[in-house]
Amino acid sequence: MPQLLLKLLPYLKAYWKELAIICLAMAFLGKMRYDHRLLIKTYEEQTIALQEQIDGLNLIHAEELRKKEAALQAYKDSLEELEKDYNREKRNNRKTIDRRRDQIEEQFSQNKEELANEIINNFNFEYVPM
Amino acid sequence: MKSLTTLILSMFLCSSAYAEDVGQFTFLGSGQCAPFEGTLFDAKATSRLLTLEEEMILGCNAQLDFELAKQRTELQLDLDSQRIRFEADIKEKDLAIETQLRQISDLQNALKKVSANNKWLYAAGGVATGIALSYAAYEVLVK
Repeated sequence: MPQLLLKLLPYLKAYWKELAIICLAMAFLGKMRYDHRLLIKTYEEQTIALQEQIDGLNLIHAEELRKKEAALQAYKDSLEELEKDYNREKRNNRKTIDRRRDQIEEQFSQNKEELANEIINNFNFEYVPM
Repeated sequence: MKSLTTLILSMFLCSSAYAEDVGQFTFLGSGQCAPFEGTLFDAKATSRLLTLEEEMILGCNAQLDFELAKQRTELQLDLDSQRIRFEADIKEKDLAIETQLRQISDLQNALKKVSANNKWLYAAGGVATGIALSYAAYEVLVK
């Protein structure tokens, strides 16, 4: 090894300037390549981060749609239930009124005095017996 | 007064309906088996007249309850939709902040690797490289 260095020494002495230029140029190129690789790595990391953000946004959007769909379904069910209740109440009201009418019709034939009082109370008319 | 209006209205309604089903009425003149001129209603018509107000109140209450409940349900849906949108907005905001912090961190790391704080060393290197390249050019081109 030292012999090799001794052989190379004259050569190095003669061409040290050229060799220095080559070394500097290689260092310059090496640094440039390193920076370039770093830039690409940074770009890739940014791309991955943005892609993950897009995926996250898609997930959030899908979840939002699912929740809205569920809310809409709950609204429809609720509305259906309300309509059922409303119809049930109407039927009950109908029954109540029918019972009341039957009662009045019964009064008409059996208890005219009570019916007359009811008419007086309702309309404030004067009762004139025949 | 309300009852009287109801009575008058129902008289017109009754007269145009089927007499058999909904009750009957007629007008009586004075002395026509009646102490005064007036209107005669049968039992069915009387029962309809007497229950009309109650029927309308019950119907109105039922309708009112239904409409209010429907409106409440619609408002609940609106509220739920807005809450869902709000929660999604919060999540989107958190995600955007997280991503941007990560990007900033990545860029800072890259920046640290690219240019350390030894700027004088880089300046000296640059000057030396410039001199060397100039000298090389001189050597190659002039000599």
